[in-house]
Amino acid sequence: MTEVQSQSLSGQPAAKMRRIAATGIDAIITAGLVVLLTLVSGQFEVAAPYLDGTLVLRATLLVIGSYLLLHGIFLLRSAQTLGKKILGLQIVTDNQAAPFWRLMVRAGALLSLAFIPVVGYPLQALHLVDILLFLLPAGLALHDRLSGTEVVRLVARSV
Amino acid sequence: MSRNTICYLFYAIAGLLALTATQLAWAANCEAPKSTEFLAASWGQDHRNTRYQPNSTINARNVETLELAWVFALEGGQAPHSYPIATKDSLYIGTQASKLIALDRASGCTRWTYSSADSIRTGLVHGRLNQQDLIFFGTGNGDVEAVSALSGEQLWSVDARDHDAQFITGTPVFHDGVLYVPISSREVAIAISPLYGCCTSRGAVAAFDAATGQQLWRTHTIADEPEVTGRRWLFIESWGPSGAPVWSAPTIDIKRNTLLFGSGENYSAPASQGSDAITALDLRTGAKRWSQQYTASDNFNMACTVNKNHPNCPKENGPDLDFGAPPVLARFDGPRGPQDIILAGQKSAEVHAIDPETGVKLWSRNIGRGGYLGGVHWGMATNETLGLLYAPVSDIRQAPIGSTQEPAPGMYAIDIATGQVRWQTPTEDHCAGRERCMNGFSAAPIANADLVFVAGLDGWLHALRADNGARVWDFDTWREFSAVNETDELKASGGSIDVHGPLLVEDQLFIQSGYGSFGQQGGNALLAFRLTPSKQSNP
Repeated sequence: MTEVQSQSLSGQPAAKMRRIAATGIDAIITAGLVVLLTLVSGQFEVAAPYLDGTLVLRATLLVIGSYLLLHGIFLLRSAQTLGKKILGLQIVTDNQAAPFWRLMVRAGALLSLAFIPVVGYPLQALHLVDILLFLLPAGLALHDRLSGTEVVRLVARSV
Repeated sequence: MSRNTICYLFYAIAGLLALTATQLAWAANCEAPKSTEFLAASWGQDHRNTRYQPNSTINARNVETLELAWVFALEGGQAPHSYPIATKDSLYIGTQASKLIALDRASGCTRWTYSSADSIRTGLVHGRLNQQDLIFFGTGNGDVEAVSALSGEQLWSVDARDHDAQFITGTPVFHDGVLYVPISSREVAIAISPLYGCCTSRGAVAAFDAATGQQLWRTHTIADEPEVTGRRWLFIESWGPSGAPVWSAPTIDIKRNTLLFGSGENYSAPASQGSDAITALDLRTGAKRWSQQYTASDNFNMACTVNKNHPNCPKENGPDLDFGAPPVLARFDGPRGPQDIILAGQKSAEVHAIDPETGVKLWSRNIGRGGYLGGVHWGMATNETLGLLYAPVSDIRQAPIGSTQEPAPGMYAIDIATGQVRWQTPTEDHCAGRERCMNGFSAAPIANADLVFVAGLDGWLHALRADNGARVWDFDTWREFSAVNETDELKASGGSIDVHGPLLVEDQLFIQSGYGSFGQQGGNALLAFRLTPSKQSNP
C-alpha cells in the first residue's frame, strides 16, 4: 500500500510562476466571494454607507471577511491558502508550517499593500517594492520579509 | 547681561504679549450684536424672491467709489454654499466648517460663532418670534436649526429628512411663524456607484413651527411612493419614480395663501409629473393647488456623467433641466391695474411667465442655449419700477445638452409684462490664462433702484445699469486676499463666483468668491465692499 504524505522541504522555495499562479487563484476566488457577499448583503445598495463615512470600512471588512471565510481553515490547518493548497505550496517559518499569527501579519501586509494603490501616490512605492523584492533571486517579497515567512513547494513522499 | 538690558528685554516681551492679547481679543471677541433691525433677511430679500434691495444706496454715480473694506476667510472647504443676511450692525454667514458666524458689518470682526451639527448648506433666513430674533438654516445632514441672532445660542434643531439621502440646499423661508423648508437629495450623486439601487428619495417641501421645530406638513414633489422597477446582477433592485428635488428657496404668495417652488429632474424611471415643474401648495395644509411641468420625461443622475451605459443612468439620460432659480412673484402695471405674475427661470435658458391663480403659462422666452449647469441656474432679480426681470445665463461650454444652439452667456433684462428682451449684456471672456475658468453668469444677481449686480464663473463681479445694462463697475475677485481672520492655516482666496451671488445692504456690497463643486475654481473669500464717501463727486 502506498500512502501519499505531504511535507515541506527546506531550502527549496516555490517557483515564482507557481506563487504568482496561486496568488492569482486566491485573488480571483476572493474577489468572487466579495462580489457575491456584496450583492447578497445589499451593503452598498442603500444610501447609508455613502453618507456616514463607512464605505471604505465596510468594503475592507468585506474583503477581510471573504479572505478568512475562504482561506481561514486552510491557513489554520496547514498554513496554506486555497490557491497554495491547489498548487502544492505552503507558507513556512524555519522549515515548519508558519504559526497562525505570522500568517495574519502576512495576510495583513499583503492586503494593505494591495489596497495601497487607492490610498495615495507616495505609498504606491511600497507596492512596487513588494513586487521588486519578489522578483529578486531570493524571491522574498516585502510581505514575506515583514512576516518572517517564505513559501515553499510541497512534495509527495511515498511511505 | 546688564540689569538695564534685562529690564528692556522684560518690557519688550511684556509689550509684545499685551499687543498679541489685544489682537486676539479684537479678532475673537468683538462685542455681541446689538441691532435686531434686519435690512437683508432672506435669500430673496422678500417673501416674493424679487432679489430687489430697496435700502441699497449704491447707484450709477457713486458705484465707482466702492472699495474693498474687509475680507473674511471662510473655513471648511473651497465651495462655500451659504448666503448672508444682515442687520444694521452685523452680517451673518454660514460655513462649510459647520459654523454660523456673526460679524461686525463695518470691520469683519467676529461677534460670535455657533457650531452647527454639519456644514451649513443653505442661505440664512431671519424670523421674529415672541420678541426674539432667530436665524434659521439647513445643513448638509438634513437638519434645520434655529439660533438666536443676538446670542448665537441654539433654540432647536430638527431632522427634516424622511430619507437617509436627503439634505437641504435651498434656503428656507419664514412667514407668519412657520418655516418652509425645501428638501433635496444626494442620491443624484450616490447613483454613480453601480452597486447602488437607484433611487428611492423624492423632493419635498416641509413646514415647521418656527417656535418649536415641530413639523406641520410635508408634501412630496412626486405623489407616488417609489417601487421596484427592475433587478440587475440577480440582487440589485432599481427603484422609481424618484428625484424631483427642491433645491431653491420657495416663494410665498400671501394674497393667494400659496407656497410656490420649482423642482428638478427625476433620478430614475418612470418619469413623474412632479419633475421640472413649478408648483403651488396651500400654505396652511401643503395641499397641491396646481402644478405645471415644463420638461417632461427628464430622467437623469450623475451616473450619466460617467457613462450613459452606467446601470444607474436612465435611458432618457437627461436633459437635466431643473428649476434651480426660485420662482419670482413679480408685480407689473397691467391693463386692469397692478397685476401679479410668476416668473420662473429654467436651466433650459427659458424664462416662463405664469398666472399665479391657475398655473397657466402666459409667455415663455428663450434667452440662450441652456445646459445642465444653466441656462438660468441659481436665481434672477427684478426691478418692478422699471418693469424688468434680470435673468443671468450661464450657458457654459463645459455643460452642453446636445443643442445646436450657440451659447449666449450674459445678463438679459426681460419686460415682465410681455416677455420681450429690453436689453442684454453679454459676458466678457476673462478666462485666458486661468485654469478651471468658465465664461458664464450662473450665480443669482441682485438689484437696487439704479443697478443690477451680477457675478461670473470667471470670478468677475459687475455692476450694470438697471435701465440699459451698461457696465459701470467691475472687480476681479479671482486672487488671494489678506483676511481679517487670517492665520498660518487659513488664508482667503477667490475664484469662480456661483450659487447665491452678491448681497446689497445700504452702502455695502458682499460677495463670496470661490466655488469648486463642479470643476469651477474653488475659493473661500467673503468680500465686503463699501462706498467711500470721500471719493464721491458732488452732485
